[in-house]
Amino acid sequence: MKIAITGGAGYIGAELVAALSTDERITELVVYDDLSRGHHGLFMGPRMGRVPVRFVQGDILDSRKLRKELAGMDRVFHLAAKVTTPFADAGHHHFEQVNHWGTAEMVYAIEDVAPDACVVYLSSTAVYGSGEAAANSGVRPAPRSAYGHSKWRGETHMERLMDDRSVTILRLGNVYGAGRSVRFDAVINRFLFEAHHKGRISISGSGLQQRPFIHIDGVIGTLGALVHGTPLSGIFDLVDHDLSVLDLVEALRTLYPKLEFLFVDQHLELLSLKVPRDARLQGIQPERKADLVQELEAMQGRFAW
Amino acid sequence: MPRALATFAPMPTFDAFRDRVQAFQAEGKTLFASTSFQGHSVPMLHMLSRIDAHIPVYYVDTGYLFPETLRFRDVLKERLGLRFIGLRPAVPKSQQRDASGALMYTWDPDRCCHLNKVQPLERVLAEYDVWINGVRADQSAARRAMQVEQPAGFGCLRYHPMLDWNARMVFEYRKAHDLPEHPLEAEGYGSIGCEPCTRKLMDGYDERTSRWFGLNKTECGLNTELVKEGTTQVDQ
Ligand code: SF4
Repeated sequence: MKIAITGGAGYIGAELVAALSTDERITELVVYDDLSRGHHGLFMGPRMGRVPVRFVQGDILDSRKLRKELAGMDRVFHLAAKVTTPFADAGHHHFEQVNHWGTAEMVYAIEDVAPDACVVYLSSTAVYGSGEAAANSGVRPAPRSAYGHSKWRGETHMERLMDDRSVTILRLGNVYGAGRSVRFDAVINRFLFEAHHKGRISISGSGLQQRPFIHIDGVIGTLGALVHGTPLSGIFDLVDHDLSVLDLVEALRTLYPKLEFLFVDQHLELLSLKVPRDARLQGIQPERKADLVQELEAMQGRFAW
Repeated sequence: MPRALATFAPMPTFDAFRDRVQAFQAEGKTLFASTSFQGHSVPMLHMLSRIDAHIPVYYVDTGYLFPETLRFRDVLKERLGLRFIGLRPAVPKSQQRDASGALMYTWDPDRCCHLNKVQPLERVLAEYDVWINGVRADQSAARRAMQVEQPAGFGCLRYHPMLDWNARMVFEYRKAHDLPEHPLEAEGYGSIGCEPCTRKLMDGYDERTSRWFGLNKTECGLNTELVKEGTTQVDQ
């Protein structure tokens, strides 16, 4: 089985490559990434498993290269994206370019050169925008940010492929946890970094805003289950739990009792979003084995000092 | 003077269209049609399917089409049994950025249309003798100046069977033949092209604002660049 992973050098991609590299039913892993975020963690140890990994430095808007590299793939994980913490609104055109038109190019290339490939596309719960009631894939998205809108439009291109193959669209909550290409702009990771190395965290808004989250192990477990399992077509939410910023601060204070937290603009009531675990992923999405404090402790243990 | 618009008369158009296509074929000419899958182009496609469904129908897939348009293509293919052929631009989008990394439609829409629409169609023009094109005189000044037949360049002849039609006739024809509409029409879109350059109709604005709102640009180049020089005159 040949698998291509766009964004394979990124936060989720690098963990997925490492996990799949030990699965000897896979004959080749192609990592397609433009390295635009400067992540190089994929290329350093610990060593990968025995599955051959091939790196292609490429842009998903380079249709020629994309066609060449996706030819004959059995599975395609489309992870490449211009990411942000949901609700951010900077660089509208860039989100549109990569997440919307880049995904359109992926769909064209898959149609043309990978007719048998099952596809997994990572979207975001940012497509829901915000709201008091819990959102889920049954409600019509109402993105509030350029990022959320671009991910949603990317989904509509991917949905076209569902007519003749399995396409799994996963709307991820905010991801956290250690990894080779860990992102410290992801909110939980950033707070842990600041708590550990600075003793003080900065909080935007009142702290009451809620967001859906998922630990990176839950993401990788789910993606891994989609490699060999029965193809699963549709749109799903991949989240574990909702948290407010103040919930997170409480958990951090268990590990760092002297932690200070500074409100930058606490008069602002920032938008909230709640998304429950998707029951349809039962048996695919792993059960969460640790609570938040244990997860933070595990990541804390990965710091160099 | 603007060309007088004919009243609703679908059958004479069909007969004339069929007879002309058959005459071209009798002369040994090769024919192709083009479409952008807009709702108003459906009558011509429907007639073509009844005249000769083997005539290839090209569309320019710029890479910026609404996914809804591509789904509509599939609906029409199923319904009309036509042979649609997509043309993709040769220049990847990764090479259509400026120094700041922005895509071409944000800084030079004319060039963007040239690369993504006009160029892909040029090679098709060189392959065929006759291009069946569904432009209508009531759509723009450039189109109002067109003839039913005129050279397209590259040795190809443009043939415009729908030139005298108007929006009302399109509506009536679609209704009479129970033809599907583009899914975005129900969401408030009028003229539907590439997503970055299309916007929903707004109250108090005319349909012209559906495309390239804010620019003097009214055509994508297919109906201005691929018309042989010296054969068109815009009405004053
Ligand atoms: S219509 Fe807009 S996006 Fe499409 S080719 Fe022209 S400028 Fe580019």
